[in-house]
Amino acid sequence: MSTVSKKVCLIGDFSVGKTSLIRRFVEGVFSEQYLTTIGIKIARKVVNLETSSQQIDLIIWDIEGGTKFKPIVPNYLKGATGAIIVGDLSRQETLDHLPAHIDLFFQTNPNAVAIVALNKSDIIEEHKLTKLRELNNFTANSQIIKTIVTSAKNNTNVDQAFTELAANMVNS
Amino acid sequence: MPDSIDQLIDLLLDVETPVKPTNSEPESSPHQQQPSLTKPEKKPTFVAQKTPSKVESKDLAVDSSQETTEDNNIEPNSIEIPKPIEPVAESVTKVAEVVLDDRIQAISSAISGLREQNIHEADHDTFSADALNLGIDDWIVQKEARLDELAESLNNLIPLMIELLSVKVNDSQELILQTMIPFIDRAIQERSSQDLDKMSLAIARILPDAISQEIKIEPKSMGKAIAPELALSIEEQIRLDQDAISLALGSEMGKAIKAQIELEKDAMVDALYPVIGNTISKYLAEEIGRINQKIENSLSREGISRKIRAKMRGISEAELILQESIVCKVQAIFLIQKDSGLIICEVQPDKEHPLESDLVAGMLTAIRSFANDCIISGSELSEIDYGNFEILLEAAGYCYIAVVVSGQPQTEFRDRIRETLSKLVMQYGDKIENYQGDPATIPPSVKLVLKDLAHIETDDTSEANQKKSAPILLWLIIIILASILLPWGIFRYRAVKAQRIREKVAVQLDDNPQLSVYRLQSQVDRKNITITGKVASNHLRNLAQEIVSEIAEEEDLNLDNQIIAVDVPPDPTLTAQEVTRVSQLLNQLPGVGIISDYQDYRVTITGFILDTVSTETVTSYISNIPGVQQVVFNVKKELPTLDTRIYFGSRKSEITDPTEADKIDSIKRFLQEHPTLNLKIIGHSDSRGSNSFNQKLILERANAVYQTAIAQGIDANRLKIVNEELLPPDITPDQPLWLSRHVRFEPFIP
Repeated sequence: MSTVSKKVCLIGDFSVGKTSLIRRFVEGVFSEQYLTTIGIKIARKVVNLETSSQQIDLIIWDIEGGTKFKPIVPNYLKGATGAIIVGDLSRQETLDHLPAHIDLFFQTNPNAVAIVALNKSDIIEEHKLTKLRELNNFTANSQIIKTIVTSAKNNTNVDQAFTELAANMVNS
Repeated sequence: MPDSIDQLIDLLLDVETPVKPTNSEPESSPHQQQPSLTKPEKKPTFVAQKTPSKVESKDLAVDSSQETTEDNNIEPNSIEIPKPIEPVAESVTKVAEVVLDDRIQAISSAISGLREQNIHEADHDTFSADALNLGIDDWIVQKEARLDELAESLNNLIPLMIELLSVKVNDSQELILQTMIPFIDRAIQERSSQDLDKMSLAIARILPDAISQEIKIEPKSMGKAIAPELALSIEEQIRLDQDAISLALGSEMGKAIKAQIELEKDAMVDALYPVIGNTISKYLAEEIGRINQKIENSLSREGISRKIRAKMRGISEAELILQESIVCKVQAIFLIQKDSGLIICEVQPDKEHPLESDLVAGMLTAIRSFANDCIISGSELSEIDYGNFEILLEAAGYCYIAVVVSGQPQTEFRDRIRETLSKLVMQYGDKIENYQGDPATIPPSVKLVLKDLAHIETDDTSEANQKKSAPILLWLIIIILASILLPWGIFRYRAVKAQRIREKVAVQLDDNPQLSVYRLQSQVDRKNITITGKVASNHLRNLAQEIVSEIAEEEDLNLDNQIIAVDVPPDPTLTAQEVTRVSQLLNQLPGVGIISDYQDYRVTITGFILDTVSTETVTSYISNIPGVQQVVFNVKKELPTLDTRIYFGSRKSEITDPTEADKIDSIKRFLQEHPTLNLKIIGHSDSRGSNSFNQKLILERANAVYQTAIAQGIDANRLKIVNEELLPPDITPDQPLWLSRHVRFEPFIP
């Protein structure tokens, strides 16, 4: 079984839960404590794909969240095959910034694929969730595999987001 | 009541000025709870939506865009308009729609007004409320039907209006133009949204001409118009086709740079400085450091010993320096793709504690990007110091190499990294560029190249080298010491031996009386004794050779006689003394009594040499004296006789007769004449008297002559009393007796 390494970036505004998603996926834990990521944090996890015999070694780049005053450094995105673009369902402005993040990522990596993760679903009421999900559905760009509602705290769809991305990166 | 409402609606539908509509749209937040009373109010709005009009659908934000497109599709089917006047028809439709829209708005607001009124009234009269509700429902149904009719009639009217318009266009173009102007932009916009392709096609034909025309008329404004998007369009083109822009610009790049240098040299220098300046300064610093190090070390003891060791091991001195600071050890080597930070290949000699290569590579890449982006753009991070560890980075092409080293690596090692990297980039550049994270795409030789880089400094090799070097070093020292001490010892031994031989030669030469006066010197080397100096004759030269050759034989050496025989005129005084000395020596021989006189290199020998053998001996001795060239013999072979006899009276032993006494003078004269001879004094008596008496008498007579002669001044040493026969040998018994009574003299060579 061959192992292929792929670079994956997590992009989004600050405090949307990028680091928490990675921790949940890689270490299987969640912490309420908020620690801002400075610069870059890199994690790694090997994913076994059900569909193919390949193993994927995901090199996950946790990139410092962007703010109005400090945009994401495009150099960090270079050479990525996939990205999870994260928005916080409880903060509308983070969802508003999603298209900008998507554009930035695909500008840097035109052949990459991405998944949009709408995070913190645990603190959103059910009916609002449906509505927000409808409002933020980025299906126009074929390179966006899907938009998925996640919760790092409740471990909702976290593994699915990463594995689905991984599967699509191999195909792409 | 319903009647009045009906009337009102009729009125409203006919009225030209629409009532200002109230905002009946739902709130953007769909989850906000509406008060229950307003629920029925929404109904007319909802009904209105169902009309085949486009207006409502546009205003409702909740509706999806798909619905909108469906509406658009319906529209062209419902009204068929000849193509040439399509835009006009479109605009007319619009106007109609707007009018209709306004009407409906008015109706809705009127109804809601009425509702409120009704409800208000219902508080007073609950019976009438129910009736009202029923009435309203009926009314709504009716109105719905009417609205449909209205739309239908309007549709029928459109062709008529178009006809009218076309007539009008023909009649007065100016007027139509006036009417059209306000809608043209909207018409284009609408058309574009309907069928983008056709619209684009229509405009496309004139666009290039239009642009070139505009450039002719006002180039500046055209420039301004395009300028902001120029960068973006280039970026977009690069995204679409990476090579196209660089291909287009590439050929002109050189010229452009040249032109810029001509125009503004300083700016160009400033621009290039961060790249070139840093490269050069880095290179220079490294070179100077290296030279400095070499100078510092080359003359020191370590430097010399290192040179020798390097020669012994057959490696360069630089390599040895590298190994000397062997604390330095390669922990890991990573070949990393520049952009993605993915590991292309890795080598980790330490298998016990491997580094998390993926994370290290990612982090290094991030740090590089950060430094490149935020500190100095375009520069490269070349090393990271971390305690005792150092991460050396070298970038080229689409990858960079990171070497994690513990300890302080030498600059030569960096050269090796550079060489390795350039080798990899040259050979596998395309594979590295297109690396997608699959290690199988990288040939195994890449790993071998990296292993080779790591190999030099790993511990086992250095230890092996050191083990090997230890006995070699020992042997080396022994050889060096031997090669120094052995010749030195031999040299010393020879010197001592030579000194001894020289001393011996000097003593021997000095011992010979003939050579002692000359300064003769000797030199001794491995095979020869060389004697130098000057002597007065060949004889002396040969003499010296004879003496030294004995020593040479003893010491098993060859003799090299370099003594020069100089014919020095000898000192006449010395020669004369020598002649005298030799003569005196010769006089010791029996029968030889000579006196040599040296004058003008000639020796005149006078005196007595009684036999022939002695004459030859004398000649050879005298002629060998340096300075003697001629020997003249004036010698007698027989002794002279002295006839003088002193006579005595009978039985007397005193010289009484003065004549007899005078005879002493003749004796004196004889001795003076013959200095080499002495005289025997011999007494005699006559034949009378007793023998014993006569014996006593002759001794007394000889003694009396001896005493008298001494008294006369004759040297006593030259006189000798000899006792012989009583009677003299030459007197016969018949001769007178007195002849026998005398003392006679006989000369002899002393």
